[in-house]
Amino acid sequence: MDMIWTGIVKAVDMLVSFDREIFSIAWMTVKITGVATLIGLCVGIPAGLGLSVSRFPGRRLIIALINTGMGLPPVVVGLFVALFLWRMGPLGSLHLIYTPAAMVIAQVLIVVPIIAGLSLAAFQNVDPSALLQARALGASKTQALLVVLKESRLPQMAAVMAGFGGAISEVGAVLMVGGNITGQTRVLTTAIVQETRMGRFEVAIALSLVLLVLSFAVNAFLTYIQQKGALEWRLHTWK
Amino acid sequence: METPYLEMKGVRHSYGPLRVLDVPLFSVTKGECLVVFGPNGSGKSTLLRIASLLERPGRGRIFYRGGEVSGKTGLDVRRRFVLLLQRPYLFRGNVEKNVLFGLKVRGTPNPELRKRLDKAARMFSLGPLLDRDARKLSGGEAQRVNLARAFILEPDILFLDEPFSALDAPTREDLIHELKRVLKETGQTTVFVTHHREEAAFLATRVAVLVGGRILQVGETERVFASPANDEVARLVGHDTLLKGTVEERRGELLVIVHAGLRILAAGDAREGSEVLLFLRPEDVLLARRKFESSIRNWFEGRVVEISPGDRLVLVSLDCGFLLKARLTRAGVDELGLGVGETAWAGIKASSLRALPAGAENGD
Repeated sequence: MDMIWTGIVKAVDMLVSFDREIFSIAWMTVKITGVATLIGLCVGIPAGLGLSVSRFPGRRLIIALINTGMGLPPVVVGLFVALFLWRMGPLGSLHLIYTPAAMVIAQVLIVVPIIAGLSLAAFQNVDPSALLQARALGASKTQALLVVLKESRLPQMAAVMAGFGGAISEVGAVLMVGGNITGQTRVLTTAIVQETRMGRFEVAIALSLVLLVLSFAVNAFLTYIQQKGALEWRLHTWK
Repeated sequence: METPYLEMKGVRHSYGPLRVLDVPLFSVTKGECLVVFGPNGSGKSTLLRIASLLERPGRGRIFYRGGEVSGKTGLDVRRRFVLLLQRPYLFRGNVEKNVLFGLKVRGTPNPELRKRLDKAARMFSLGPLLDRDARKLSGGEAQRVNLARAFILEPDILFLDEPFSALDAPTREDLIHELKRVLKETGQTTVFVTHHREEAAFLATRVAVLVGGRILQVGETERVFASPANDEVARLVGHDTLLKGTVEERRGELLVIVHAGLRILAAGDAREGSEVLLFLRPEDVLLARRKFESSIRNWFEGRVVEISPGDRLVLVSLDCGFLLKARLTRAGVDELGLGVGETAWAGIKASSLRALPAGAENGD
């Protein structure tokens, strides 16, 4: 118990003194996760929209695959990305293994199914007459689809949050393809694993606090956007 | 003759194996309020979606001011129209945002937006509602916002799909009067779909009767309501079947029809010796205690079998050897002192009785 307390005190001390290493690791995490989430959004939301408004053979199979992908074990993703990017692998000539780019690729693969799946569900929850109403008032096809996106803003933001959360908390895949190289591919999660293994618990705790604060800040911001203009639920009942 | 605003030629449409629409010709002229009137499931909404270019017909061509609409011109022409749905879908955001939606997607510049918003808000007294959350409005308020967001676009043709059918009766009446006033003020060309006879009669300058995906009759409102083309239309526009008879003689504009020894004078066109069905609106029957001298040519004596109070008027059923229904005011019934089992005389003008060929009973 004592160790945990001294660990926390030391961790807070490191944070308020702006420990350089901790903040460079945090910054690397923000960059990799941010880029991966953005790419995930650019792929996942159009995929969700496309799947919700179109009908083609094999559509259900794709949806089933996406839903499976939402629970994809990150280490499996890590393994396959590593195999492909390995020096001897099919994409070895790109020299991406143990670079931040490799970590982004792995995270995108983890995040896209999560965002696409939740986004599809969000679109499918919009009343189909929204689309007809928009077109009936003169919206072009693209404008009408934008309306549907706006109408589903609330659950769409949940998809963004889930995607970001999946990326920032992930450790297995980024460790395998990034390698946890100091100053290059070390991120908060991989650093926490490393420091814990080495018994430097106070550093691990400090890193964990940063991770939690970071996660909270991003989600608080996204929640603010999400809840703006949300309808209130009122349950007036007897007991 | 003036080129119609909109013309549909040879339009056929099916959902799967089900043919829902078969309309050889449908046209809308500038300034009119054309009411498409028909029972539920007759293809009215499909007709409206196709006419407003939201759905492509399986077959047929559509012309706008004489020019054929194609995939290329589709959006431009569509933007001259507005279709309002039965259940208005109001977008997330406040009322103002909803009212401005159509102008925004058309890229209308800001000063113009303000000007039009003021005008539309005044037209439907939306002033106090503009800042309200659009999804927290009552049904009547929502429908006023819906009308405003259509009128603000000043469309060439406004299409309305049963806009008032989900509302309670007083709200519906208020809105329909409001709509009629605005239509008159603006001269807006309108196509209005409804299954309500009263709405159709009140708003229409022209009526198209749609049954089973086919237009059975189209013409001036008065004409369609007074002289339905066949028995199906007759029943839809509020005529009751009276009885079946044989044409004995043609007398000028009128026909003498024989039914069980009774001689009845009616309006219509049929060959001598042919079978006809007689139609009548219950409100065209005059009830009296005894016959009196007047221009009324048909008098029937009968016994009152039922008096049923209705929405506004009372329906009195009379057994005259055939069942005759008369609709009159509560005061009228009281004045006559009518009760079930008593006898009364029913007077019907020959022009109110419509004779239609009995053979037409089973469709086309």
